[in-house]
Amino acid sequence: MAKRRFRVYRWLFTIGLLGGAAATLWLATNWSWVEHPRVRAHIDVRQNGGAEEHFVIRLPRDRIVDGGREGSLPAAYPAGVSLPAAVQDAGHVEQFKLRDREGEVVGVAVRHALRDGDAEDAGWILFLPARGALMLQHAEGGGGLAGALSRAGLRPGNAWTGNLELQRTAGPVDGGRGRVVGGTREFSRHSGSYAERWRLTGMDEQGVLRGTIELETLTVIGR
Amino acid sequence: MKYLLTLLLGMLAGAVLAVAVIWFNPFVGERGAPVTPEGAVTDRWHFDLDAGATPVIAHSGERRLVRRPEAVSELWETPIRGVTSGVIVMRGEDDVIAGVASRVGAWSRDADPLRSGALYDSVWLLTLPGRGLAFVTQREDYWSLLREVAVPSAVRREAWQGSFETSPAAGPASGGAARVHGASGALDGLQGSLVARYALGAYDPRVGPTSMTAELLVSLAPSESESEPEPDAEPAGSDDAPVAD
Repeated sequence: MAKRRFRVYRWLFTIGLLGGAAATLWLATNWSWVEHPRVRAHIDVRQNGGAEEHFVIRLPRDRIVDGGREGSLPAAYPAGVSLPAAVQDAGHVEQFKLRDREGEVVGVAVRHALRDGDAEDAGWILFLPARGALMLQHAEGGGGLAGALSRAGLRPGNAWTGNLELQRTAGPVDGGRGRVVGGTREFSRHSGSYAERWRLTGMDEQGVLRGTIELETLTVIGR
Repeated sequence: MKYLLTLLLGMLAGAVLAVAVIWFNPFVGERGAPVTPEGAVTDRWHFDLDAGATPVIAHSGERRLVRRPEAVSELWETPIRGVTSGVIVMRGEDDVIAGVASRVGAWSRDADPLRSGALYDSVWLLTLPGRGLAFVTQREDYWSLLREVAVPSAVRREAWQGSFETSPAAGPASGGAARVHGASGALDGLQGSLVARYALGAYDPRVGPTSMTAELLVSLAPSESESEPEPDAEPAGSDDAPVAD
C-alpha cells in the first residue's frame, strides 16, 4: 500500500515538475517582454507613387539637444551641453521629439549636418520604436539657416519675428528632395525621397527658434 | 490534499528548474570567439562614459541610467518611453577626435530570454569631419552583462566593481556585426560593418554603468551590390503593417 502511494506521489511530482517547467519556458518565450505602444500611422497612398507620410517637429518644445554651431545659429541646448570645437566647426548635431501630422509624439529624430567646403550635407534618423527607423540624407539648399534668417531681417544678438519658409533639401533626388538611405524593421526594404521644410515665425535674443520643421517622406518597397 | 501539495511542489521545482535553464542558457548572450567586423578593420574609435565623451544621454527617467546634462528633456511620452538617445564623441587611435555620433535605440520586441537574449536595437548617425556622414544599424544582446553584472548587483543592492569585457554584437550583418552605410562626402557609396567592445569597470544598480570604455572596430569598403534587407525585416502583410488613411 505504502509502495503504491509512493508511486502516486512520484508520478504527481514528476507531472508537476514537467508541467511547471513547460509552463515557465512557454511563458518566457511567449511573454511580451518589450512593448512599444503603437500609434496609428497616417499614410497617404499615391497612385503608382508610393506611400506619403508627414512628420512635424515643433520648435522650441520638441528639442532634445542642439549641439550649437561655432559662431552661428542656433544656440546650444540645453544648458550644459558642450560639443568639442572640432565638431562644432564643421558639423551640427540636433535631436528632437518627432510628431505625426496629428501632432502626437511618435518617435525621436536625429539631424546631423556637415560642411565640406561650400557644400553642406545633412542626415536624419527617424526612430519610431513601434515601427523601425528611417535613415535619410540630403544636400543642403538655401545657403543654410543662418543665411536665410539674415536675409529675412535677423540682426545678430536681436530677437526676430517674421515668417520664413525654407526648404532645406536640395538633392540628390530630382525635385530638390533628399533620399532614403535605408531603414530597419518595417522600413527595411523601403527606398524613396523626402523633403524637409522649416517654417519659422521668430527667434529670441538667446537664439531659440520658434516654428516647425516638416518632413514629408515618399517611400516605396524595394530598392 | 497531500496529492495536491505534491503536484504543486513538483510544479514549483519545475519552474525553478526552468528558470535555471534560462539563466544558464548557453544559446543566448556571448558565445564562442568575439565577433569581428567583416573585412579588414579600417577605423578604430573609442569613447567612455565621461561627460566629455558622452555629453548627452536622454531617456524617460525610468531607466537605470544617468541622464545628462541634468536639464535634458525627458522622453516621457508613451510611444517613446522606451527610447534612449545620446551623443558620443569618438576618438581615434591617436586620441584625436574622429567624429561625433548620435545613437538612438530601444529594447527590441524580439527579446526572448530563451531563444534570443536581451536584444537592444539602435541606429547611429555618425559625423566624421572631413569625411562625411554614415549610418549604423546595430543589434546587441546584453544578456551576458545582465547575468554577470547587472542582476547580481541589483539583487545584492550594492555597486559592482571589477573588470568585465563584452562584445554583445548580434547583427544585423552576417556574423553578428552592425551594418554601416556611408551616406555623404568621401563615405558615400561605402558600406561595411562595425563591432563594439565594452570594458565595464563599475556598475551601480541605481544608475547603471559608471565606468566603462568602448572600442568601435569599423570595416568600410566600396559597396559591391545593392543593400539587402535587414534580417529583422518584418514580412509583407505583417499585423504591424501601417494602416493607411
